Formats: sequence, structure tokens, C-alpha cells
Amino acid sequence: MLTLVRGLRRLGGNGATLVALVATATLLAVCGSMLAGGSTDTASTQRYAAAQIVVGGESSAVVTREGKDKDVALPGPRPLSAEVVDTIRDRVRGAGATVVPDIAARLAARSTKDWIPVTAHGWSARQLGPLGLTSGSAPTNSGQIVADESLGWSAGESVEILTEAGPQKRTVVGTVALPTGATPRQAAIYLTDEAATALARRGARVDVAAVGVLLPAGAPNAEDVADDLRTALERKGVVVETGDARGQIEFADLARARGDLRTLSGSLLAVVILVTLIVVGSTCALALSRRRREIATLRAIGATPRQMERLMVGEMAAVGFVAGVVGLVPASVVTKVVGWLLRAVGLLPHDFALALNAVAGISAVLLTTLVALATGWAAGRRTAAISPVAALASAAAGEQKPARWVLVLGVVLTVVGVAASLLPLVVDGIVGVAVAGGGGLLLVFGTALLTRPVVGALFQVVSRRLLASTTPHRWLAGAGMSGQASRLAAGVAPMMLIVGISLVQILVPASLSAAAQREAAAGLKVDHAVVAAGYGLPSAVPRSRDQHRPVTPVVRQQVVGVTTVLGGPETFRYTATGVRDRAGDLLDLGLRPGSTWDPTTTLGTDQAVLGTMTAAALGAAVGDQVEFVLADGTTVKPQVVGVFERGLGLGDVLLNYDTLTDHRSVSEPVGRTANLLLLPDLSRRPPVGEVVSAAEAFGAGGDAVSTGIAASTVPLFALFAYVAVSVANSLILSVTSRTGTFAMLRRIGADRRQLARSLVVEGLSVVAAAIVLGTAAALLPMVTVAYGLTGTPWPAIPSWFYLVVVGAVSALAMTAVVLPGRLVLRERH
Amino acid sequence: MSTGTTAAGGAVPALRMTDVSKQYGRGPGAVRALDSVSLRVARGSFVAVMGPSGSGKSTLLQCAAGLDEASSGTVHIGQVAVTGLDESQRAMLRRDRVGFVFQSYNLLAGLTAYQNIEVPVRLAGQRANPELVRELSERVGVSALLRRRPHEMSGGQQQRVALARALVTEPEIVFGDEPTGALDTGSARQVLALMRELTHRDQRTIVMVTHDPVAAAHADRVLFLADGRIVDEETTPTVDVVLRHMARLEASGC
Ligand SMILES: Nc1ncnc2c1ncn2[C@@H]1O[C@H](COP(=O)(O)OP(=O)(O)O)[C@@H](O)[C@H]1O
Ligand SMILES: [Mg+2]
Repeated sequence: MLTLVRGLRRLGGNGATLVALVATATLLAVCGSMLAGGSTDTASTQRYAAAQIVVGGESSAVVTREGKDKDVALPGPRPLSAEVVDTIRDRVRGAGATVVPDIAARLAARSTKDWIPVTAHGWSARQLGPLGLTSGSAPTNSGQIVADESLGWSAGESVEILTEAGPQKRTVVGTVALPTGATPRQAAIYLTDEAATALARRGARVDVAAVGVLLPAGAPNAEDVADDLRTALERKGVVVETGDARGQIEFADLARARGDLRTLSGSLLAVVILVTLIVVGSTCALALSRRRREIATLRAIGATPRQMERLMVGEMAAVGFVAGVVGLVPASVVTKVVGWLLRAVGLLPHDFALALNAVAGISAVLLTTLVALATGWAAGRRTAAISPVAALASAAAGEQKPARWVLVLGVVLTVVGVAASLLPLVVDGIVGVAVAGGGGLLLVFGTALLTRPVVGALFQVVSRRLLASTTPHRWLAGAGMSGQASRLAAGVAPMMLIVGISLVQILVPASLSAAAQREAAAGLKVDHAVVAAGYGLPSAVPRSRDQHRPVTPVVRQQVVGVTTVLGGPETFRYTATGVRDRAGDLLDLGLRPGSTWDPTTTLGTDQAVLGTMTAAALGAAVGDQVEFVLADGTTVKPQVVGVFERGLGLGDVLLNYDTLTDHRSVSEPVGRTANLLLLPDLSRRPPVGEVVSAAEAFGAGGDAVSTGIAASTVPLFALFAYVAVSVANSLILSVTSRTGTFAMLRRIGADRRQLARSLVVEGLSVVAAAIVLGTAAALLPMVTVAYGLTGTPWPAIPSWFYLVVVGAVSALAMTAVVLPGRLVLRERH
Repeated sequence: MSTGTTAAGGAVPALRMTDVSKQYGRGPGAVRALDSVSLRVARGSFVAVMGPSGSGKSTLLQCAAGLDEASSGTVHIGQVAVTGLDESQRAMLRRDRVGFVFQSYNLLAGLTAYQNIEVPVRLAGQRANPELVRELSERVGVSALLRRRPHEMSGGQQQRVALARALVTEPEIVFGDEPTGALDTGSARQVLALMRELTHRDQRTIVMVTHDPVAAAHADRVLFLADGRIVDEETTPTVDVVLRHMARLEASGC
């Protein structure tokens, strides 16, 4: 560490700029790689490898309002309709191709041990692999199955599969394996086509997950056929893929993770760019202020402002480019770390590889060069344009006023941020809350831009107080901070950003989770529930003597609410809950007066009960019709029969159980199986699944808040690392830039300890300023969001999180002040 | 502070160095920067130290002022033996009994002239007597500038403030390392005249390293250093005489 610091000091101001830019390149390359959606190598197709063309359902639907379309994301791929299968048959008949629909059902199976999630396919789908029988024979009746060899079952073995009716016996009559000998990524069993069709039936239709087209030898180019199919199937909600992209259809979870990653990083992009601009800008300003005498001298000996500007721009462009290239080395490591973290918190599938993307890397180098160029230009312009006399004078003063446009922009951002943060007080529901969250970010950035004057004023007061002290190190700290706004602001700005952004970033998810926790606790009349990982639970639960509180199947599904805003469609993602039979016995919904639905009756297929936030966002009241897009892309328009208080905890909307299970995506459990079973008493625990607290089953358990925090901070890991590097960088520069002053003070009798302590006092002041400013910037939206969601002004941010942020920032800053301070003071003078 | 020594009369010199040697490094690469230097500086005198670059001027100053430890020999400032003091005792000694004026990095940028003058007193955890600061600033001619910050003053004015700071603890002795090196001729002359006055009228003691014969000519006594030894001394320096000494030194050096 010390050698590193020493090396940086040699490089002087440019070293710090270089470090800032290397970190910037790293950050941009990492974010770019996330935006590119990870690498494709894990997703190459297995079970569809023999089909040159694979057609699957899109994971999105289109909603239309007043002639305007909007794409909405679905929780998984839509099943293919019979019409689509027929169209494909018609189209490829000429080519002599074989068309094989893959009828698939997600369920659980077991031989003697635990239930494991498997996909059941029709036997004909084995041709798509092509999978070969490695033992036994094909299934010939509904009691027989063929299993993947990797499951370890052998022909003749008796196994069970889990359907909506409960466990059912099957006999393994054969085993299959991939021709490559690879272990399948998703375990599968094969039923006769008739049995598979019966199993995969949902309401009126059968789930066809994909259709494979096997072209005969010497057939036309697969791409041409695929293009023809694309034309024929346009606007039918399907994707037609060839080559590696076929894996996207086979492994919907990977495709979905890629999409999620894109959305996630896309939403972070603005934050990332703003942070880099602020950090690079402030580091450059600090570095330049160290070189101001050199610049002033050049100006004095006759360099024109134009020449100076060119000099700076040229120099920064070169530094930016080198930094960009160098930054790719840490980027490849950081990308892997981010991937690992995202997998660890469950945001990515366990075998999803996130690696540095070439295009992202090149873009990062170019962007870094651009950022360097821009800051060099801005800084150079200001420094170069002043007269030589003024330049020499301000070189001595060591202070330069911030540019006017920076201050104006800072004020504008702050004002807009304040206005946005106040929205939850006026607008009900999630819209106001979301806008306030965004307003918080604006406030943080606005404050960051205003750091110079604010910190200047703040430290004027602090240093005056310190200068009144007769304790030498306090006085020395005061002397060191007096008139040093730009140096101190460069240290404070990235730190306040880190505090502000982490608070704002978790603000909405933490508040939502906390509210959900409270509502689930109040709304659930049972303590326990059964859940299963990766498969559905039987919904035909045996009725017991206690008819009043039976074990109750519940389905939960992501749906999209549609409404009209400003003459176009506006959509919201909601969690819909469907309770089989009567919800009222096990849930205390907190129905608002005016509701027409009796919660002790089953909710009709054309009825919906909305949570208050949902009702507010959709602008719907009892009696109105609302529009939802279900997981398979079907649009339903039920009538609102009630509005209930506990939407955040129990589900934003209640719909009929069968309506939800009949419209699942192909990656969801088979038939009318349940996502969870409410368990009124533990003695009636079914022989499948895992018993958890009911709140946890509803995603509102004891760790809901920390899970929410992890989900919203882990994607920011690279950004936090970046800001940490910047904080250390600018503080080290700030301390080492004072070597001369320390030498002088040492000579006139300050001892090392006094100086070291004065640095500690200064470091603590900088840390305190950053924490106060960062917290203050985030405070208003914290209060209004809490108020909007819970009706109380107490922010839902847990104190442990705040302490972690504050502790990490303080430790980082103090290390960055004390270590280089040691070094500077150790030198002989 | 130093009234005791004053009462004892001129017998105790402000600075006494006996057989002081200073060696940097060990073994074959070692540099003997000072070689058995002995020196007495009487109270109220103005001494200049000259010599070619690398002759040991800065080292002499550092050893004399207790910034650095001599390898051998003894150093006394007034009645205090510098040799044998530890790091923080030497810092206290510099704070209370020694004053410093440098070529650059002289004043703290964020502080006013008044606050800059106060620094050594503050380092001792005390407040300067405003009366004393005012008197001193009048003496060095900056009483009208006390509220200004360094960048609002000329180089000469800054150096006067630095002199006032060096004197504020009423030190035994003031050391200057090329104190006029960064000043224009006019300001340099005024500062030199002031230093001379301070020694003669106010009985202050100043030892100054310089390479400028004009500066040296303002001193009472000029020591010439070569290869770590005092090789020559001039007690009636004029510019011509100093130049002649230097020429001779440089010739023998080659
Ligand atoms: N810290 C040090 N380490 C090693 N050698 C040094 C050090 N400081 C000075 N020297 C050497 O000691 C000799 C005297 O240096 P110095 O006192 O700085 O001379 P002057 O000030 O007269 O130019 C020179 O040869 C110089 O190289
Ligand atoms: Mg020297």
C-alpha cells in the first residue's frame, strides 16, 4: 500500500487522474458487460440440438391503448397455440421437414429420496435431441416413463411423479442420454405423447413449449426457412431461432436472467455515468490545482490560452486512452466477482456466466477517453483562459471557484429532486413512491455538484472553531482546512455520493419489504405454509374433518396491470394471488368498506380484488373493469369487487385460482398445481415440499428487508468499488499534496504526532461532512416514501444498513488519510 | 523566555557547535556532509554561510537547528544541549528556542498574516499575546497587512511575516535557508536590511545560508564551507570581498 502511494505521488496530479480514469474504464466495462447480458456459452442447446430451427413463445406481450402499443414483460415464455403449430407445419411442408412439437410439463419426481424438479416431455420430442435410448424401451402406455440416464434410475424401477392430483406411480421402462454424453442442464422424463398431452393440459389448451423443425439432408438453408417462418409468424408472440440462439428457447431461465440483467444494468447506466463524471471531474480539478503553478508559468512565458487548452485536451486524451486499456484488466476480474455475487443472492441462475464482453470493453475504452477529453477540456478552458497575472496569483492562492454552470445545474437538480421527493404526499400509490425514489437520486447528484460551495461554507465554520482551540493538533487541523474548499470538496463529493446513493437505492425496496412484512403479519391467519423449489404442489388436498380451515392451495403469479395514461398504455407489474376456495378463512384482507365481495365465497373468474396501491395506480374503484395481462400473454378484464388494505403483503391483486393456473407461462408448474399451501395446523403437513412460515411463503418473511436490500445493492457492487477507489484516490492526493506544508511545519517545531493527529481531525471532519451531506440529501425522499407506503414518517431503512454504510465509508476514508499521512510525515526534511 | 541567558551576559553564545560531523549512509557509498565543524555564534550577530552547491550548507543548518541529529560532536542552542534530545524534544526546542525562515512554502495559505505569525505559539498550545504580535508586525513592517492571506501579499511582505513568525517565540536564534532566494532585488534588500537591524538593534541572532554575495554582504560575518568543512571566514564582508572568496573556493574545488 505504501509503495503504491509513493508511486502515485511520483506521478503527482496525473497519477491520481490516471487512477480515477482506470477505475472509470473498469466500471464502464463491467456495466457494459452486464448490459450485454453475460456470455452465451452456458446456454447452447441440448434437447433441441437436432432441430435446425426452433420456435418458442415470446416472454412478452403487446398491449394497445388508443392505437398505441407497448411491450410488457411476462414472467416466462408464452406457450405456443395450436394455430402456430399448424402454421409451421404448412410453411415447412414443401421443404420436406419434420415438425415436432415439444409438449412439456414442469413437475416433480422421485424414486426413493427427495422430490426433484423435472420436465416431462412427450416421447416424440426425443428426436429433437436426438436422444438415444441407452437401456430399455420406449414408453407404450401412460404408466410407463423413460428417464434421463443422469437421474440414476434404471429400467424396471418404480417412481412417483407429482401432479395436481398428488403423487402418482410410474414405471421406468428405459433411459435416454444426450448424444454428446453431456449431463442435461434440466432433468427430464419422457411420457407417451398422449400421457404428456393429458398432463400438460391447462384449461382448454395444451402447453406446447416449443416446436422443432428437423430439415432433411440437402434441404434449403435453415436460415432461409427460419426467415420465412418469422414472416409467417409475425405478431404471433413467437421467436424463431437457429444455431446457438436455440438455447434461449430451451433454457428460458437463462434468457430471462439475461433480460433481467439488461433491464437492471440499463436502469443503472444513468447513475453510473453521472457518478463517473462527478468523480473524474473532481479528481481532475484537484490534480489540476496542484499543477496550476506550472500552468501559470507556461501562460506567463507566452503560451496562448488556445495552446494551453490543446495541451490539456491532448494530455487528457492520451491519459484517458491508456487508462481505458489498463482498466480492462481489473474489469475482467470485477465482472466475474459481480457475476458471482449476483448468483450468490439468487439474481442469476447458478450456472449463468458473466464475463467481460468485447464490445463493452472497447466501448469502455472509448468512453473513458471521451470522459477524460471532456473533463480536460472543461478544466483546461477555465485554467487557460484567465490572464497570466491572475493565473500566477491564483496559483499561490490554491483556490479556484467552481464553474457557474455546475452550480446552476446543481441547484436545478436539487430543486427538481425536492419536488419529486414530495410527490408521495400528494399522489397515492407506487407511482408517487417511485418518482420520489428517482427524486432522491437527483437530490444526491445535485448536492454532489453543490459540494464545493456547501463544503466551503461548512468548513469555514469548522475551521474557525478549530482555530479557536488551544490544543495544537486541533488548531493545526483548522489551519489546514482553512480556505481549502476545493481540496476538501474533492474528498467529500465521492463519499457523500456513496452514502446518498446507497440510501436512495434501497429506500423503495426496503420500505416496500417492511410494509409487506407488516401487512403479511397482520393479514395471515395461519402460521405455516408449504413451499417447493422448482415445482408445483398438489392442489387436490384431502379434506379433513375440520372443513372450516382446510389446507389451502395458493397460486402466485406475475401479471401486468394496464391502464391509460395521457392517451397511451401504462403498465405496472403486479403479483397476483389466487386462493383456491375461500380466501376469507385464512386471510384477513382488510377489505375496505364498499366492497361487494364476500371473502367467505370463492372469487369468480370475472372478478378481481385490488390492493389499495394497485387500485390507486390503475385508477379503479369497486364496480370498474380492470385489465390484466396474465403470464401466458392472455388479457383478462375482470370487474373490481373489492379493495383491500394488505396488498403489499398478500398480493397486489386477487384473482380466481383457476384463471391464474390456466394461464401460466411454460416455465411454471404443471396444471393447477399450487405455488404454496397454507397450512392451518402442522399435523396436516403433506408429504411434499418444505414447511416455512406463512409470511415467508408470501415473500414477506423475517429476512424480506435484507433480501430486498441485497437485491438492490449487489448489482451496484462495481459502482461502490469504483467510488471507494475514488475516495481513496482523492484523499491520498489531498494528503500528499501537502508535503511541503508539513515539511515547513515540522521545521518550525510541529512534532510528528501533532501533525498526524491534525490529519485525523481533518479526516474525521471530512467523513462527518460526507455522511451529513449524503444523509441529508437522501432524508427527504426517505421520509416521504415511508409516509407514502406506511403512513408514518419513519424511514424503513434498517439501522444496521446505515451503520454498515457509515462504518465502511469512515474506515475507508480514515485509512486513505492516515496511511499516506504516515508516509508523508516519515520522510526526512 | 530567554531572559535567564540574557542576565548571564554575553558569555553564553546563541549557538555552539563542537566537532560536529554528519555522515549520510554507510560503507563505501557514505557521504560525509559535515566534517568536524566547530562554530560559535554570539548573541546579536548576523552570520551568513556560503559555499558551493553540495558543500554542506543545508546539513549544517539542519544539525544546528536540531532538525537532524549530528553523527558526532555536540550542538548547544543557548544553554540547551541539542545532542541527546529525542525527536519530540527537538521539535519542542525548535518551537520554543529556534526560528525559521525559508525560501518557499513559508506561510500557510489558508491563514491570515496574524494567524501565520501565531503558528509556533499555537503549536505550543498557547495563544499569542496580541500586543506582542502587533509590536512584532510593526517592527517588521506588516502591521497594516495582518488580516490578509498570503496570496494577497507580495513576496517581500510574505517574507517579513515569516520573519515575524520566526521571532514570535523570542527565540535564541533564527535560521534562514536562502530567505531572499525567491525575492526580487528590491524586496530582498529590504528584508536583508531588516534582518541586520533586528540583530543590531534588538539583539536577535540570525544564521542564514545564501548563495547571493549581496545578501552575504549584509551579515557581520560570513563562513565559507567546502566539502563539509569551514574553510574560510570573513568578518568585514562586502560584495567584492565575498565574491573573491567564492572565486577562490570554486577554483580550489576543481
Ligand atoms: N538525505 C541525504 N542522504 C544522503 N546524502 C545527502 C543527504 N542530504 C545531503 N546529502 C549529501 O550531503 C552533501 C551536502 O549536502 P547539502 O548539505 O544539501 O549541501 P548544500 O546545501 O550546501 O548544497 C551533498 O553531497 C549531498 O549530496
Ligand atoms: Mg542546500
